[in-house]
Amino acid sequence: MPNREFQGYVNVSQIMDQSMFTLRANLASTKIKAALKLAMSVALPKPGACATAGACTLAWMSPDELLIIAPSAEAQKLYSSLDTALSGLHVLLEDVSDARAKFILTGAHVREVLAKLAPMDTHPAQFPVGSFNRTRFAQVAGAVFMEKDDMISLICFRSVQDYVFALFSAAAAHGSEVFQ
Amino acid sequence: MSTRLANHGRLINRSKAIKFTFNGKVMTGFEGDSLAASLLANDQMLMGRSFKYHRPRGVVASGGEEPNALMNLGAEGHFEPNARATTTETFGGLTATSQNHFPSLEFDVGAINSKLARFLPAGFYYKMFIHPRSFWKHVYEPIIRKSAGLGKAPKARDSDKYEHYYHFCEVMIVGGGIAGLQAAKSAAATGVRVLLVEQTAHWGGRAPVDGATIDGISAEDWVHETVVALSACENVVIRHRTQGAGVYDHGYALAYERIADHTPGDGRPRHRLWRVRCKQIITATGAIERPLSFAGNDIPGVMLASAVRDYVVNYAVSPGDRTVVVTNNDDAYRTALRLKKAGLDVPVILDARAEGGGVLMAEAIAVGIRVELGRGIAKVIGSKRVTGVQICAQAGEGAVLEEIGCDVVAMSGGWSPVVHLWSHCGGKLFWDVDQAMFRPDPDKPPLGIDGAGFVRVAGLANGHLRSASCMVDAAIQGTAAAYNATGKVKKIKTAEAEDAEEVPLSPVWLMPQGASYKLRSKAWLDFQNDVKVSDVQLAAQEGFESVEHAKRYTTLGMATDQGKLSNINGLAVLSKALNADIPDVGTTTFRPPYTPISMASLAGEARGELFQPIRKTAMHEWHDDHGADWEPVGGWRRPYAYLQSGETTDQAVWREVINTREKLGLLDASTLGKIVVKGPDAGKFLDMMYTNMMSNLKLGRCRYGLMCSENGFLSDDGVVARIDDQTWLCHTTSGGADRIHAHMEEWLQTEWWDWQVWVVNITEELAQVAVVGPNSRKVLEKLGGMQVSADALPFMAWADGEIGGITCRAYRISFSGELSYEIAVPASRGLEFWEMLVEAGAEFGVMPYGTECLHIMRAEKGFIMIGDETDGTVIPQDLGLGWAISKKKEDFLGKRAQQRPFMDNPNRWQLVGLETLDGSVLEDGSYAIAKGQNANGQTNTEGRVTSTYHSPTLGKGIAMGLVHNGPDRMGEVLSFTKIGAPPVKAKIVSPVFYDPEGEKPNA
Repeated sequence: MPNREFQGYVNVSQIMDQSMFTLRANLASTKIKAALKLAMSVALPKPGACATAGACTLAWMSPDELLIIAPSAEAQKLYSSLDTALSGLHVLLEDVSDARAKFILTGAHVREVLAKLAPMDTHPAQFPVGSFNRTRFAQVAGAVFMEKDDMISLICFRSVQDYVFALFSAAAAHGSEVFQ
Repeated sequence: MSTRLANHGRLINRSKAIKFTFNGKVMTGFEGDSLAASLLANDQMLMGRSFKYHRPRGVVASGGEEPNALMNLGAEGHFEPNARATTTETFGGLTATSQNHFPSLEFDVGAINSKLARFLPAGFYYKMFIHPRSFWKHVYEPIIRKSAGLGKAPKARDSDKYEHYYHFCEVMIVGGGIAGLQAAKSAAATGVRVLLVEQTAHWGGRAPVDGATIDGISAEDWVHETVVALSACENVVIRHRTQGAGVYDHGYALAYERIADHTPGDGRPRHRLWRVRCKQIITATGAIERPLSFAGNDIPGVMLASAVRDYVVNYAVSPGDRTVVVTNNDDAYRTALRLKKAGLDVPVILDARAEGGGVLMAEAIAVGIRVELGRGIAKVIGSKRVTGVQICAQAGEGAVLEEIGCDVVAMSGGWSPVVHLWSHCGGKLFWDVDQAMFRPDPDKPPLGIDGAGFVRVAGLANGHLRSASCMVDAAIQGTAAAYNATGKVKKIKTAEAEDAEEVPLSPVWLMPQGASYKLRSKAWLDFQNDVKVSDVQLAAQEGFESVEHAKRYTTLGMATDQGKLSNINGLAVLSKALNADIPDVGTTTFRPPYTPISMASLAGEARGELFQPIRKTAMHEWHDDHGADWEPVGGWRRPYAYLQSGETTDQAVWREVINTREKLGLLDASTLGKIVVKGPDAGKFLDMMYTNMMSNLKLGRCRYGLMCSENGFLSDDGVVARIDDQTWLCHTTSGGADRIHAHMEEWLQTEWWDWQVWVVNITEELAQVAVVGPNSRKVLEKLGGMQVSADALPFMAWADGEIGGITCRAYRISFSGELSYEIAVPASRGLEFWEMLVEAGAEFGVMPYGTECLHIMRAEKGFIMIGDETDGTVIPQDLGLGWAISKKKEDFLGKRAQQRPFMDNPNRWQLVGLETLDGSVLEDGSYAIAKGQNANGQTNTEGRVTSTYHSPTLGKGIAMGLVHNGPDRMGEVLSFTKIGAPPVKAKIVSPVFYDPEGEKPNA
């Protein structure tokens, strides 16, 4: 799959060198919290947010699910340390790197382009930098991570990556600016 | 004649003349014109034909309420029917054609209907076309269809772009007149997020035309200053050319932005649909002037008084040289004064009120305009254009007192607040007797989730017709909305507005009040659908007393304008005919959108390649490059077959079956659902989910399992693998992955929340390839890696390892009846693995195969398919799958249901194989014919075909079906229906047609 990119009034590009793990666990459990802190040296994210530890990101998916994103180069090591730290606890850790596709939007108007496709409040006061949200992109499920004021990460299922890329490319096309 | 005036025109730019065409004729307008203004400037008063009688129609209004001036705009991919000329901005190159006429606008043969009006009364269609019954379908409907409809349906694909935009705010304000602007200012002062939308390209609404003074400056200047101030507010979004189109539950609203209607081809989206979520909505939607009902009020040249002065003030267009003003209120005097100021002639103002008006009337008299009190119009003279009016006493029956020549009649029957958006979500109205109008009842607003109102109305729309009270009301509503939305309060100074004092109107629902039948049958209520005063009276007389019935019987208010001009007059006439009060008759229901919006804006981005997301496996492109004939499966596209050059689809399928049975086939099985279930209670959980035991499945082994709904019906099937002590992997059908995942989560979250089980759907993580056929082991061994021998990996076992250098999990399972492996690899390496198999398999005769080959091979083996053999009414026992229903388990989903007597009963339709006597293929879904007929006179049946194919392996037709007591009737011959042909005879046989001993997959 090519590292595709679309240049509009916001740029859309696919990121390929990321690994992802789904962790199902009771996030309220002190044992789980301690094990994760041990493995990743970071506290659990709050609902609707992400926590970052170095190049890794922990995203809050639900009261019993985390999405862990790491550079592919560090993924094996991270998986092992998580596996070790969580052993004996009732958890399910699955590699979902290939199940997902990741895109980034960059540019001053990333919030606006997102608001064309996701039914969510993208205002900085409601969705500040560091926020994470599960939503939909037009007709498919997706998740959004507000990385910086001018950069948003999008995650969708692998099978619909062409659709999502085409969606955001169309929404970001020059001439379709909502404000300015 | 109508023409362009030499001076003024507040909205036009005289330095930018533009050319456009109307019915092929080149005309000139100015930038800033509406199409209606441009047409009038070119003396084109005749703009369309009415629906039923094809009467000539001129423009009557100047805004979204226009019923007559409907146009076909553009051509090919930019074609749009039923566009109102009043809300279309003129641009260079615009092409417009009028509608509903043949052969031309000026001469229309359909106008003969008008001569037959006496024979086309209300409800004519219902009465005339009911007998004989068969004529409706074959004679009447085709003719009516041909003559019905105003605009043409577009034929070309829309070549424009559309999009949605999700907007969140605390307060949304609809309407950018002075009330909307004041409400926005008041709400925004608290710092809440405000969205203000205005449907036209201009701010300020009527106030700049009508000439109010606000805070000591002209309304025009105040509007300008306020717009600049609001634009500078961080917390305010203001948007013109954007109509608040609909209000829905819980603070949801739609706004329709017409971005590029006037700049086609500039690369911008044509329309944008704003999907707004807010806490409070203020509708400051103004009011619409009412026509008066007098004979000939539909003749081109009869216009609303407010529209006449709009054309003069906004576009410097004079609708005519001599205008008779007829009114029941003071406001219309403004039109007379404005015309006089523009140097045009106003021969007379006919005021239906015996006492006349206030200061505006005095002003009119002072400038020398003749004013006649207690007078009305008996009849307008003219056909395609007004040539004069006959004057009568309003109190009389229409005796003509005088005839006056004129080419325009400016009429005003008072004002109706635009209550549509208030009413969309349930806001109620009350009748204000003094002002003769329906107004929003503030005690009965549309209610939000908290039981409190979420819509407020401000200004004219709230019944405040005078500028001063309009501004006070707007400020109150703006402040209150912000408070209700956020609890914040900040009061700011309310703008003080002044305009001329007015005396009350006197309601006039018919002119003259005692008009004869002849006059009433020429007094139009609904101009577009041709409904007259006499039609509504007839409906009442015939018993259509409910306003909703009368509406449908007469078609009043059912045209594209939805009765914006006709509704109030119509129901006033109805109430009078019923001898009831207007509020007791009530209004019809207001439904969104406020005016028609484009279908394409509703679709937004969902067209072309974005119409529907297509799920693609890792090998999708390869399939596409190798002749895949696609089939949709559960959101995916799967190859039905791979067509080689010169082959039909059937030939390709049969080739694939033979090749796989004899050599080697590859199937992309990535779409199969794969769900990991883990935890101390996972075994217990799966024993509940499946009908058979899964907890005792040994490590490294696979088992075929069935899932039923709690009603006992078969819902899904698939192979389950035991991964480790606490972990199972469940395969589901391709279409069932998301559904079964949700089904598991639902039971875990709502019923067995205390069981320690986690579930993750990893369907998309893996690419899976079925390597099938006698040579399957050879190709895997050639690629090298893990052991795949019969001993190392026996039938129904799985193992992790590596093949050809790619990490994989190999399952020894078979849905084809052949020696078969399913190999799962990470999706990112799926294509690489597939290509490796194709290359290495060349010497073993490898060919990819599609879903139809899969179906035939499983049918040859008698394997069922969810969705073919099951349809939501079939239980496993019907399919000979009783062996997969555990007798040992205390419980599983569906167990109790299956014990109900009609299920625990051999007297059901059950699975058998079917073989035609002549070798032909049975029709899918065909029924086995039984003796006799049922109570409805239909032939009895005793079974049906669920799967049917030509088997290339056996060289004949094979089928599976559900037959009454089928398994006990082996060898019996049944007759199956065939559409358009005699029944086909087929013998009941075992459903296993191929390798009944099952030796091949064990090889």
